[in-house]
Amino acid sequence: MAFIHHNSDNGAEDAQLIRIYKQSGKLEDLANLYQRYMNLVYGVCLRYFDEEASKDAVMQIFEELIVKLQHHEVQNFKSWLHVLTRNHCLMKLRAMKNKESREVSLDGLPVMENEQFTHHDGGNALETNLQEMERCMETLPEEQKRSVDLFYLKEKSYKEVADLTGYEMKKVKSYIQNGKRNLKNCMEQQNAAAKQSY
Amino acid sequence: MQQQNNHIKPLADPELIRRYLAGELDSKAMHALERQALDDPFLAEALDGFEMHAPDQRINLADLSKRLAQRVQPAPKRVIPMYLRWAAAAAVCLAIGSSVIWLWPARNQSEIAKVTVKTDTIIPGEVAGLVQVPETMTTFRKQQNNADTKSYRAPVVPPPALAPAPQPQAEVAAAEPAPAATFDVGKASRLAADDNKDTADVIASQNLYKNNNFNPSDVSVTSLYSKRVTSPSGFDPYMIKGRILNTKGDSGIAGVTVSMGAVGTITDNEGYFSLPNDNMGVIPRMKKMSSNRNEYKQVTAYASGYQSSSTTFKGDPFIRMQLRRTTDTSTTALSSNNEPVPVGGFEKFEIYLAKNVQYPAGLTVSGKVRVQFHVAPDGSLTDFRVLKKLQPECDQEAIRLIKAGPAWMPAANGKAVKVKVDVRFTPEAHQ
Repeated sequence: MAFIHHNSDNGAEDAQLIRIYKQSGKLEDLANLYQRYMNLVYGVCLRYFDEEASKDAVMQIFEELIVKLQHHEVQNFKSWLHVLTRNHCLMKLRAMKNKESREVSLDGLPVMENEQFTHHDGGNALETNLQEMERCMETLPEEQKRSVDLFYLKEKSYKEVADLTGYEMKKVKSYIQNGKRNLKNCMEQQNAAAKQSY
Repeated sequence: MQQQNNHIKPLADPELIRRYLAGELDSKAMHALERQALDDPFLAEALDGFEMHAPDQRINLADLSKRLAQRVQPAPKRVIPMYLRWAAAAAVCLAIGSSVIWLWPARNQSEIAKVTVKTDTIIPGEVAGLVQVPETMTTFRKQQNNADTKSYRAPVVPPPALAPAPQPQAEVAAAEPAPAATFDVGKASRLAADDNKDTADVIASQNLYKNNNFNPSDVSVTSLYSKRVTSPSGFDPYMIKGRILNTKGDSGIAGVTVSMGAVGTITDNEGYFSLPNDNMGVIPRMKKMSSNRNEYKQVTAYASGYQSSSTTFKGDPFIRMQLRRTTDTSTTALSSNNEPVPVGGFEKFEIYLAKNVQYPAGLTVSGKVRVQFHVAPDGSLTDFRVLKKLQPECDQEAIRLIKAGPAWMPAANGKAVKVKVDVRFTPEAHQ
């Protein structure tokens, strides 16, 4: 798939930019790297703060990067930056929680599963094993099956899926996410079973 | 979107995201992005975040790019104005210096002010009587630091300088390198006085420490300044010059951030600084001194490893401030390295607190509320927490008061710094 291929390229480019920065120690070089992800960092911050505070957070994360990148050996910069961003926001929120003027509930925020990071490029396996997948599809709950089918196989957007099925947008999203995870689990089990039978 | 480098583009096109959220994409493109998000938790979370706000974030993203660019290249912007300020300062000092040199022989002949000036020695106490130091000037100093009436130093008597300096003489001083001229000229006029002065500083500062038995609510500010009354003709009213010294007064501190209002600068290797002063000049200086005190600006100096210090600028041609090392002190309740400073200085801040505190109705308790908060690198105040509670109403009022109060200058190291402030509540004072 085009975008997956794209990803690995970017990974190499990131690594190169990190190398350049580490050698030169110049902030411009780091900024070049950071700019590639700045809007994502900003977007993540927007989940937790308002626009102004988010912008500040983006700049603070940059400051953190200046130091951390020099000391840490970063393999997958994108995932690493994501975790860094998220941690920064959560730390800030936690600090804010004690403050009476602003109540932010941490409970409402979905917790990220580590699994999602480790299977970053797991999409490949999904697409090469269509047959197995179809078998697994049958094991999914009806809503997940319909949503996944429409989204992945019929290539409909969330909105279209929602229109076609009558489910809520938010539900559609979670059906697809959960369906995808269930599918992956199912296929891993099948793979393991296949290996044992050899 | 403005991008610094053409070949380095954000991986997730902000424009695509914007159009996605605004519903401007066709379903195929929507699907592609959604699918990408499923494989990319970073993008997915960012999309969630964007969804919670207005779809058009272009202004904010552009602003961020600008801020990043500024953060990355702050150097050239600062260097040029600094250089110009120094050049201006050097020019002013040359003018002062030349007038002093020109007046040197003339002074012995004509005892204009009938002052028996031997060499420019310090004559504490008597000075005010002998020379026409405006009365207001002295009283100001007394009000200034309630604790340091002892440490307050008598002005150094200048030669009774009266005539404008002729230009040719300037060349004598011009042989000296420019920054050195800034102080050498000042010193040259009172060579004999200098030894005395330094010892005076030491004594004065010691007194100051004794007197300031720091109440945790008080801000540990030590400021000591010497006023040098120079002839108004040689003084540039648009520049404020001064030097930041260590507590002994024997060496300057480099890299101290000195600010007055919105303008700021950093001291050079010898601790000297000069600041543009937009406030003065319109009104004659002496007149100004007798007018409302609130018009004077607070000059604040802070540096990493030192306690910050502030003093009120009253038209002094030369401000001298001494910074105490944070390790010198046992009172660390309020000060730490790189501490933030309220705009206008701590003194004014204390006054603000005392004046504006509203005692909640129906209560009789008295005492203090200690509030802790963070001064974020952008100067915003966050994470308010009450460390010492009194009554819930008082706690609320203390936080309100600080939030509504003067803005804070963030710490020099670009980090959020914890600050603790005490707000006093006394029922009698707020009937």
